[in-house]
Amino acid sequence: MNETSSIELLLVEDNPQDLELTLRALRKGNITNRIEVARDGAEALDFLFCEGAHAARSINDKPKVVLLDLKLPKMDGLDVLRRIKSDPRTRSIPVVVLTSSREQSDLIESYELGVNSYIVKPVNFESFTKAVQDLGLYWLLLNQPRHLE
Amino acid sequence: MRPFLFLPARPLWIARISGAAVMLTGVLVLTGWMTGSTLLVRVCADWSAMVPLTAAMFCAAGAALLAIMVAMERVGAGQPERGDCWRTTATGLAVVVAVIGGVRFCFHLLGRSSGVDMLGFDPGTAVGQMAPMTAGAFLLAGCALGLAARREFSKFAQWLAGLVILVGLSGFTRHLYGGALEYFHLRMAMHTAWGLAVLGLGIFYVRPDGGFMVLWASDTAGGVLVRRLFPVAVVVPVAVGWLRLQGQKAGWYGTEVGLTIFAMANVLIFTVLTWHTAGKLRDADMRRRKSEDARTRYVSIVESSGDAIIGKTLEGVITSWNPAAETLFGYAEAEVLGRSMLILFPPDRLAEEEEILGRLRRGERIRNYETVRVHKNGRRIDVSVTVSPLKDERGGIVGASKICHDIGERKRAERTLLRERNFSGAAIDSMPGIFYLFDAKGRFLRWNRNFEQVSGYSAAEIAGMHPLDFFAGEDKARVAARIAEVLDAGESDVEADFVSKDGRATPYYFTGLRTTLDDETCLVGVGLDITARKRAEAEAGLLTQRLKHAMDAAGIGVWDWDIKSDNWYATEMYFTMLGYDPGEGFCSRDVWIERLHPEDREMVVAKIKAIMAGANTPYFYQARIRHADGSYRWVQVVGRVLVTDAAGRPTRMIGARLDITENKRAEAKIHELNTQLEQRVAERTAQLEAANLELERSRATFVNLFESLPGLYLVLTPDLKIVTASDAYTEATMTTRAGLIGRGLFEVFPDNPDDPTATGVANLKASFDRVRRSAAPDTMAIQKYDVRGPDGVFEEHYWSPINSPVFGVDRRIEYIIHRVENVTDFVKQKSRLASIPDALQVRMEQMEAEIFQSSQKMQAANQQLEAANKELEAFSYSVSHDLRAPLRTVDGYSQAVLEDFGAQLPDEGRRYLATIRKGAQQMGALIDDLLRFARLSRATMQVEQVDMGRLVRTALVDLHFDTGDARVELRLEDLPACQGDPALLRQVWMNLLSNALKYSGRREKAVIEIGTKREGADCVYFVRDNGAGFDMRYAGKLFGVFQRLHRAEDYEGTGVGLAIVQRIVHRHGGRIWAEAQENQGAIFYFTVEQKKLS
Repeated sequence: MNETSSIELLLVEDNPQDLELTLRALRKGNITNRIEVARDGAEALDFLFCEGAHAARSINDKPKVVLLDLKLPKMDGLDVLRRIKSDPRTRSIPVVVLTSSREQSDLIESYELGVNSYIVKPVNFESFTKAVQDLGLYWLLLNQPRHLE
Repeated sequence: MRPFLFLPARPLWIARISGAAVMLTGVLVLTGWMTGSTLLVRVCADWSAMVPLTAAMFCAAGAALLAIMVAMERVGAGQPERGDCWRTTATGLAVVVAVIGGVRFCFHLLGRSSGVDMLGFDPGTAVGQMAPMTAGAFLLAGCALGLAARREFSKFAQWLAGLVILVGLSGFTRHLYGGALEYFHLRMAMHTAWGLAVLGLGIFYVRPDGGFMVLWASDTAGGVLVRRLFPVAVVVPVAVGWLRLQGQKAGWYGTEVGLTIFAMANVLIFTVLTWHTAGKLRDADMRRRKSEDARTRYVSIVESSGDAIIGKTLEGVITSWNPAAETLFGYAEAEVLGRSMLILFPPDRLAEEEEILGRLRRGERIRNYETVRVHKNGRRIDVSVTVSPLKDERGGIVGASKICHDIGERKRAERTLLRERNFSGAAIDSMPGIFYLFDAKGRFLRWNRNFEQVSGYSAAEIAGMHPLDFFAGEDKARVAARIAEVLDAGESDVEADFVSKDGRATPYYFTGLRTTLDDETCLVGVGLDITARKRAEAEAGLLTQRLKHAMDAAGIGVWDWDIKSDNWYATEMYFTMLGYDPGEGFCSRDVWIERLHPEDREMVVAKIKAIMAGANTPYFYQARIRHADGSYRWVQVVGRVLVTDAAGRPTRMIGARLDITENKRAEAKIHELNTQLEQRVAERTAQLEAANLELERSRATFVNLFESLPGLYLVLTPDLKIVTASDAYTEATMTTRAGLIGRGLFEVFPDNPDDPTATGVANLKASFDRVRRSAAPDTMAIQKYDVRGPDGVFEEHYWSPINSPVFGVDRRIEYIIHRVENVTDFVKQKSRLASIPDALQVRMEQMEAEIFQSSQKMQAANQQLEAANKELEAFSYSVSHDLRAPLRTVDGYSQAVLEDFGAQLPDEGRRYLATIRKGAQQMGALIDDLLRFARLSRATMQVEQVDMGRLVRTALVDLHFDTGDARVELRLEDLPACQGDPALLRQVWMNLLSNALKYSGRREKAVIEIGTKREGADCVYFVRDNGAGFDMRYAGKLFGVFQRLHRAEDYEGTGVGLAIVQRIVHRHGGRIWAEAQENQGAIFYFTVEQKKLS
């Protein structure tokens, strides 16, 4: 894999403030390299499946982790998650749902769809920062992706 | 042939010189007269002078002669006009000479002097007169000159010239002999005489090819004779006469003697001369004859030659043609003479002739040139051509002789040979193997192309190689020995690896045969690639090996029985499988038959006998045979006849023996098991049959039970097909069960067609729809639904139906039970009563209507509530998501300001931001709690046995309670388990414990006690703390939402926690209450209602 050009983290977030704060949190955790931002579900899928604006990408060039908001315009996060986990080419990409929703139904459905982590965005920014940094650290640095798939 | 001519045969120069000499003489004499020179006029003093007229005549005659010569030269040079001019001049001069000579001669005859002699001179000058003979001679010479210019008259001219010469000679002779002949008028000047003779000779030679000169110039014997004898005949008599005269004058003899001498001298001289000339002529004749003989011989040779000999000119015209040419080309001599050689050339070779002729002209000879010519009939002929130039006597090339040798036969032979060579070459080259022929020294004489291809060597390389160069290692010696064997014994073969140029070794089979070629012993043979055969052999060996391994592994012993000799050979396994020593592989049939189990022996012997008799039966048997250890083993033998004799009796058999003792044992085992199994199956089947019978019986019981139920029941499929009905139902609806089962409900029970207001079908359908949609029972209001009696007449009926779903295993509706109450009598009675105003009846009626209405309202309210719940769910979801996001923004950006710009803010500003953050976070907590609270009412309870102690312990862990904290004393009793939703009950403990910890957090020593107490049948759980407590006056507000009994500054909180606890407890059917004292602590009690849940 070409290390210099590949995207390690795909951040799917529609709320600009949350986006900025998430990026800030990642930056503070020194996780700044190779982040791709998708502003809605469709864009996220375009990126992952190399369609539309991302047609030039290779589908084998998988991000190390996807941070996915659930409430998204056009196509919501659960649908995005369903697509990712139902396609053999993308199934191995770890997906972390990062959402404001504490709804049990969302949590259950996410896990049923095969989400790798489900994190509720706390209102408290320090907690939020910590949560984001922890998950970034875990998924980007500590987790060994499945290369065999 | 060297000419022996006395006078040249035809030299024109004689005429020219004669003319010039005569003309010069005339001019000189005239000059002499003019100058008075006696010398020029007389030459010698005692000679007569030449008269001037004679001299002039000589001038004119000489000029005429020269003019004739020039004219002829012009004509010869292709200028006839100028030739005519000169001829006219000559003729003119000749006429002048003739006329003057004639006139002078005539005057002389008439005896008169003419003035002609004096022409041009003074009359007084003594010049003398022209002699009459001279004048006659000039008349003749003039005529001769005039005629000489014409070819056709050359003979006359020569006659006349001869007479002129005779006159000249006469004059000379007279002069020589002295005056005795005076009266013959022959007196003339000496030089006049000579001039006339020379003039005559010149005229003679004007036309050397005409007239008498033909003979003179001829190279025949006649020509020779004339040229030789004529001068002698002129000179000798004159000379001899003069000598006789001189002798007589000297007085040596008289006239008679002198005459005798003269005659004898003449006779002698002429005899000698004639004899000599005849000898010469004879020699010439002999030579000619000889050459003629040679020519005849040549001709006969040519005529009889087998080769075509053709003469031709340099232009290619055929001049001679011999019989062989006729035979070869088919043309008769007469046909081709004078024709071009090109008729013999094929069209494509016409250019050859030009080349041949060109080379011939250069004097070259063309030898044995092989080419093709054409026969008269068009057939092409292969010929070898030799062309030689033909030269005349002087060496000039005048033509060519062409010898054509027919080489068709040779060519055919050559072609046959070539064909043979090509054929054998192709045959050798097309051989599948390699071909070689080499001599005893090992020099390769011949090989095929395959040899080069296989060896990789070029032809040049092979030519320099030795046969052993193609082998390596020990093959070399082997092959060398075989080659020697061939050369010695005549034939041999060998298999060896043929090594090619690139070092590749290929197995080959070589043959060798001794042969003699050009007296040399040679070896000829072929080599065949046997790679495939070798491989097949190796594979076959391997296969045999494998087969043996396989048979050994399978424990198969193979035998081969030569029946005639009764030789029985068997493999090792055949013996070892039964523990015997294999020995040499041979065995005795009797020994083995003896080893057979006595019970099987007869069967086996019968089998062998049958086979021996030629019976077409398979040779197969299973029998027991004695092992070396004495036990009997089961073996299976399969055999097959390989060879039979003429009578069809087997002479050779092959077969295999296999130890099947284990198989037999397994068979027996299987048989036993099978027997057991069958037995068990039979038992089991009997059991099942009994069970089935039981089931059938119980089913029948249930059916009976159902059918005899007092209520009116109808069982339907979800698509409203009737499954069954109770007897009460069939009775009430005047139907039979058989008339119902399998039919559609509304098919059996349509609306009464006579009642336009009938609503039965529509309402019943709606009810079923509701059941199917909500999967819940549906109670209908009293419904008028007329049913048909057996007579087909509708009867008025009123019903009160309840439709209930029956679920299958997958929670899907499997049946719908339609239960009705027949209220016809009641309604009818009511309407009957309605006619009597009776307060009681009216009230009853009203009450009933109210009940019906309220039940309807209840149903509607339920549906509304459900919708509201849905809305609430959406609302709370939205709150959860959308309300928290801005709060996070507020908090996050405040934090960002603090982090990035905190240093620049005054303390007050930082405090404000911190406050903003706190507010936002608190609101976040509030929202979370509210949502949790709201969710409680709609969350489905998952009731199970709950270990309350465990719940407490996990809750404490979640609250980060440090059991090692000395400031907090935790007293935890054993808690009895209960029935409830663990997640919800955990929330109860979480909230109560966190409150206890929070409010006792300011104590030096916080004591928290968790336990139970009995209160009647209920088990009361409690949490006690020694914290801030509260004023019991406000205890009623304790469990309200957002109700707080403490200031936020003192104790943080949202005021939702206890509300949540209360709701959970209530949902579990329990109670919750609290006891407290301000600053003394608080106890929270709750129960979970056991009996209701169980």
